[in-house]
Amino acid sequence: MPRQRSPRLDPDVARRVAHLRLRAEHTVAGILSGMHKSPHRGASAVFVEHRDYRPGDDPRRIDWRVYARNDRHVIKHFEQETQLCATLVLDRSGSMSYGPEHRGQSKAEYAATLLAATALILLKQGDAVAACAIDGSLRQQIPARRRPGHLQDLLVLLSKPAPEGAPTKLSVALREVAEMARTRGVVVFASDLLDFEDAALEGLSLLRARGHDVIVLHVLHGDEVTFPFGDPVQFEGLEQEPGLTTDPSRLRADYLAQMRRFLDTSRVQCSARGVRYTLARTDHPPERVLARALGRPRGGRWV
Amino acid sequence: MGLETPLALMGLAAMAIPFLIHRMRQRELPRQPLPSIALLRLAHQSQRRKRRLSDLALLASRLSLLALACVAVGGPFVLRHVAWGQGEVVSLALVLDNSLSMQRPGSDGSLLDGAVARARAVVRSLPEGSQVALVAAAQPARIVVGRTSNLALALDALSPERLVTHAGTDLPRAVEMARRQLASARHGDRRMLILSDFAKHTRPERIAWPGDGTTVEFERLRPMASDLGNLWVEDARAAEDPSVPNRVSVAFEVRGQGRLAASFDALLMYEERTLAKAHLTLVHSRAKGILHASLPEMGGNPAAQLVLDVDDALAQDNQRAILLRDSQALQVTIINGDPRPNSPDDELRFLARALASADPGLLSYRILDAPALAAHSLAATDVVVLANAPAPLLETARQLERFVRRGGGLLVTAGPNFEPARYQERLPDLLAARPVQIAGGAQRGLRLGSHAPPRFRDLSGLARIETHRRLVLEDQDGETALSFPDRSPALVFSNVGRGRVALLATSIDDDWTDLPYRPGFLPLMLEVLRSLARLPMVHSRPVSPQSSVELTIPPGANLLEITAPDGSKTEFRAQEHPDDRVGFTGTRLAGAYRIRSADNTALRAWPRAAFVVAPPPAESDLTPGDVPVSDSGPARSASAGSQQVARRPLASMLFLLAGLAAALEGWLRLGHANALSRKVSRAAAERAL
Repeated sequence: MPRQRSPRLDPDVARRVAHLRLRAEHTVAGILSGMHKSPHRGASAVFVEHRDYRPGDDPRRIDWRVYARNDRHVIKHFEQETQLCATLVLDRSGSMSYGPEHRGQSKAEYAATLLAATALILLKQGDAVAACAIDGSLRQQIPARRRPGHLQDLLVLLSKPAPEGAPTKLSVALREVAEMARTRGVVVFASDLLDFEDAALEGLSLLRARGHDVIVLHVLHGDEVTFPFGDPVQFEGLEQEPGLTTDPSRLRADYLAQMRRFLDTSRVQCSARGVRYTLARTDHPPERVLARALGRPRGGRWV
Repeated sequence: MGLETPLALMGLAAMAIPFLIHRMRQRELPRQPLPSIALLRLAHQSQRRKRRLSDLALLASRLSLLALACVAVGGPFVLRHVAWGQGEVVSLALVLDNSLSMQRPGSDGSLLDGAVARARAVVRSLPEGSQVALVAAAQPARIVVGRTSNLALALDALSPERLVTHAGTDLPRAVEMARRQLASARHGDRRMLILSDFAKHTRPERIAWPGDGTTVEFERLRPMASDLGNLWVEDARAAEDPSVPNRVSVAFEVRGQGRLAASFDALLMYEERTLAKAHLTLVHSRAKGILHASLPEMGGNPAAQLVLDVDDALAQDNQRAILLRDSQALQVTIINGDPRPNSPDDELRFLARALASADPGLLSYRILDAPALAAHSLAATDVVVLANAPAPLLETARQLERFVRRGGGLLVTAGPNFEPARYQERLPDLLAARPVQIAGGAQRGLRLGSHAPPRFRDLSGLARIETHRRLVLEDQDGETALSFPDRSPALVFSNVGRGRVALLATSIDDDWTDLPYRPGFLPLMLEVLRSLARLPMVHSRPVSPQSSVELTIPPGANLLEITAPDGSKTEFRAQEHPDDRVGFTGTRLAGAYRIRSADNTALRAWPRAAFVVAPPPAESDLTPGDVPVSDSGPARSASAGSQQVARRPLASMLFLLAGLAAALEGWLRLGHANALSRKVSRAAAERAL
C-alpha cells in the first residue's frame, strides 16, 4: 500500500502545529527532567495475569515456577501490554479563545499545549491516542492511532483556533465523546468548564460508567482567577452573553468569592464522579500542571 | 417660605451633571472581554442587593447636598408671626406702667396683667443675642431689670404680683431711665416700647424723648369699660370728738371724673362692721361729708376704712384707711410700791386720779405691783415709774437698764420703801443722782433748777409746796430741774444710753409732801413724763405708695413686724439695727399698715406706730390722654396683643444640613472603602489557587 502522505498544511496551520509541537516537547522534557529514572527498564513491573504460551511469545517471559509446579508453559502478562487507548478532548468553545493579545497564550492554546504534550507522552508509551474538539457538540475528531506519525494529525486538530462565539454545552458534547470513545481507556479533557447547566458534567459520569479513566484539566486564564481589572469597563462575554458595565473595584471581592465557589464546585463534582481534577492556570508552567495531573509514572508508564 | 435670590435655584440644574457625566463616561468606557462573565454577573447581582441601600443613600446624600446648597445660596426664609419686631437682634428697653390706674379691669384681668402678658410676649419674640431692660413707671420710677442679654431674667421679673402698686405714674422719669439703659447698648438697633393706659395724668408732654436714633413705640392698654367714670377719696381725716368721749369724727372729700351715678353712699367700716354711713350727692364732680361714730374696742388695729359704695372704673381708690386714734399718746407703766387697793393710803391714789383726768390722746398708763414688773413686757411702754417701790430684783434691774439704754424713760420717786443703799446697789447707772439718805425737816416750796424744762415755769403752786421728808441727793452729773429751798436737788434728770431717767426726792403721795394736793401736781407729772419719753417716729399723715417709711423699734423690743394691707408681713430684728431705726420700703399697696413688736415674751400689737398709705389723688383721674408723639420718628401705636410678620432666615440651617449630607457621603464612602479593603486583603491571601 503506498504511504499516504499527509495533506499539505496551510502555512498558518503549519506554524501553529510547529509551535504546539515545540511547546509539547518542552513540556514533556520538563516533566521528565524533574523525575527520577525508573529502576525498571523495558517492560512494566506491574504483573497483571498469566496466559498460556503461544508460539511467537518471548520465551524469556515463561514463568518457569508455574511450569515447575504445574508442568504448564505460561507467560507473565504485564500492564504495559494493555492496549491503552487515550482520548484527548479539547474544549474549543468561544470562552476558550480568551487571552489578551500581548500577554501570554489563550486558554485554548494552553489547553492544546497540555493535550499535545499528553499525546506525545502517550505515543511514546505506545498507546493509541484519539483526539476530538468540542464546543456545543462534538465538532471534530481523529480516531485513535499508535503510530508516531499520528502526532502530526493530532497537533493539527489541537492547533485549530476556536470559532468565535461558539457556545459551550458540555452535557451534549461529552455525551458524544462517550459515544465516540468506545474502547475503554483514558480520557483527558481540557476545558474551562464554564457551563453552568445542572447536567453540564453528566458526560463525565457517562465516561466513567463506561470504564474510562477521566482526567480533567480545568483551564482558566490568570485574569479570570485574579480579576485584576481596576477602572470601570464594559465587560463582554465571549459566547454572545449580554455585557455588563461596572466598576470592577466594587465587584472584585464578590467576583472572587464566586470564582472560589465555582472552582470548589468543579473540584467536588469531579471528585464525586471519580474524575481526576487539576486546575490549570494559563500563567502557570504547563509542565508543572501536567506533572500534577498525571502524577508519578508507575511501571514506566505515566498514565 | 420665600427666597431672597430665586435665581440661585438654577443651580439645582447642576444636579443633572452627575447623571450626564455618568452617561458620558459609560459611552467612553473601554470594552473588556471576560469568559467568566457569568460569575461577574452573579457577583454584580449579589453586590447590587447589598449595595442598593447604600447606593441609594449615597445618591440621596449627594443630591441633597447639592439641593441644600443651592437653596441655601438662594437665601430662603419663612414668614412667621412674631409678637413684636422683625425677628432681628435688638437692644430693647421696656417701660411698663404699673401705677394704680393700671389696676382697671382689662380684657383679661387688669390692665397691668395685660401689659405684663404683652411684655412677656415681646421678650419671647426677641432672638437670641438681643438685650432687654425693664423699667417700672410707677412713682418713683425704678429699673426692675438692668440691660441684659439674659432674656429669662427679664421674663422672671415680669410678674403682675411683683409689679402691682397703688402708686402714681412717673412716665417722664421712667423714659429717662430707659434711655440711659440704651445709651451703651451693644446693638445698633435700639428700641423703646412703652406699655401704658396713657391716661391724662401720665403727662407725656413732659417726656424728653431720646434723640439718638432710638425707635420709640407705644402700646395703649385699653380698659374693658372705657366710658365708665371714676370716683375717689380725695382726702379723709379722723379726729376724736372733744365734746363726747370715745367718739370720732371723720371728715372726707370725694371727687369724680367721667360718667358716674349722681349720688352714692359713704361708709365708715371697722373690721367688717359699719360704724357710720352717709348718702352723698356729687355736685360738679365733688362731694364732702362727715361721719360720726363711736370708737370701737380697737385692740391692736387702730385703722378703719372709709368706703365709697359706687360702681366705677377703678375700685382700688374707692376706700381709704384712716387711723382712729392719735398714735402719739404716751404709754406709761407705773409700779406701785405701796399698793393698798381701795385705801386712801395707796401710793398711787393721787397720781392715778390725776392721770385719769388727762387727755387719753396724750397719755395712757398701766399700774403694776412691784413683783409683776419682772413678768411685764416693756415693749409698748415709753416710761416706767417706780413709785416708792422697793429696789428691784437683779433681773428686773437688768431689764430696766436695757429698757432705758434703748430709749425708755424711768422716773423713780421716793417714799418709805425706798432704800438708798439698795437702789444704789441695784440701779447704780439709772439714778439721776446718788441717794445718800432720807432726811426730815420742813422744806417749803420747790424752786426751778438750772436745767428746768421751759414748761416748768408755767407750773403754779410750786412755791407753796410743803415737804417734811425728803431724800438727800448728791447731784453729780445730772440736770437739776427742781430744788428745795436749801438748794438740795428735788428733781434731777439724766441721760442714760438713749434713754432718760429722773429721780424725785419726795413721794408722789402725801406721805412726805403735800405736792399731790397742789394744782401743779398733774401738769408737773405730765411734763416730767413727757420729758422722759422718747416718742417713736409716727406718721400721722398718709404716706405715698412706694415711699420709704422710717420706723423705730420700741425700747424693750427685739422684733418689729409690719403687716401690709394684703396680709404680707415684714420683720426687722433689733440686733440687725443697732440704732433701732428701720426703713420700710414695702409700701406698694394703699391701706393701713399695722405694727407689732416683741420682746422675749410675746408679739404685741403696737397700734401707735401704725400708718396709712394713700395713693395720690391725681392718679385716680382716668381721663384718657393722647398717645404721645416722639421726636425719634413716627410713633407706632398698636393695640396690645398685635402681631407682626417677620422673616426668619433658613440659610444657616440649610448649610448645616448640607454639611451633614457631605459628612454622610464621606462616611458611606469610607465605609465602602474599608469593607472593600478587607475583602481585597482576604482575596489576596487566597490568591494561591
